[in-house]
Amino acid sequence: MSINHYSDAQLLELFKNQTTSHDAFKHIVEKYQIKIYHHIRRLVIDHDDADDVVQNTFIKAWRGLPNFREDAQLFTWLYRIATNEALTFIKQKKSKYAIPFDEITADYTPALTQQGLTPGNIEMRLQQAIMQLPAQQRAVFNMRYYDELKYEDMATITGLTAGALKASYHHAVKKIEKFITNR
Amino acid sequence: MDKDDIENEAPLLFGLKKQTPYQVPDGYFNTLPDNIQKAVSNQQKQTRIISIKRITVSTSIAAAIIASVLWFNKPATENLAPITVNEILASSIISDLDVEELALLTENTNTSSETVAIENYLIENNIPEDELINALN
Repeated sequence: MSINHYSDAQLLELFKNQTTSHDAFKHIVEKYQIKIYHHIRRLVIDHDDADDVVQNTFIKAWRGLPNFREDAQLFTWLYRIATNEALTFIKQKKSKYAIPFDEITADYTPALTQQGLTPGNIEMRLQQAIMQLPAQQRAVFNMRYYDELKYEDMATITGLTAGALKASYHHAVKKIEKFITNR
Repeated sequence: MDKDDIENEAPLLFGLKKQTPYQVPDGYFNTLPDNIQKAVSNQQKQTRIISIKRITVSTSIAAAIIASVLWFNKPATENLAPITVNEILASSIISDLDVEELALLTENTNTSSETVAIENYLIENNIPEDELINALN
């Protein structure tokens, strides 16, 4: 049976059995790794940093799965861990270098050029605009704009209310639109 | 996704194709699950080692505490040699003790067959304790 055919409930059931727990967990990683990676990568930007945060996220998931309440969605639960890990990483990096994170992210503009984006190009301006958002607002924007998550799921992930998330997202959209239009 | 009202206010942003520009190294997602499995196994080994260390340390501490408690609370008479009849008679406390107290003091001492015979003799002949004490003095 392909891993894509296993439902979350089946994977969680397999995880409970000691003989199949490792295989079940591997399937969970395979199922969600791409979404979790890109969510983290958009926040921390650098691939190596993203790789570290992704690994920490799944290690924490492994430890937490025995206590996972099945009334919650596995996907939003993993997203919650990933978001917390990424925001904690950004906070630590900020305090480590004692300079605003915006300045750190500005260093990645050349890296974006290497990704095929040309300076002045609208895609490049979009990425620069996103980088100028505070980390938590960036997470909110990415979850809604790129991952197209519902506000209810985002509320579960962030612990904020759906109303607060909508307000934050609208502010972010306005800032980004202004940034990409005015350059 | 339920559409946001804000989309009408940001036509440029929502007119763009939604794609993440970041490139991922070739084969990264093929190796990531195995790398995570290894990391999880290493974590489990470390946790086990830490658990064994914790159990060892906890057991040692518990043993030390129990030993200390036993040492400081042991009965004061534990190392005393059993008192003998002669020692009681030779001491000055003999005059303060009645027969029952005397019996209690001597009940755990080893009694020889000779002592038992003397005791039986004294009981059978109903010899008063005053006479006995005078005779011994």
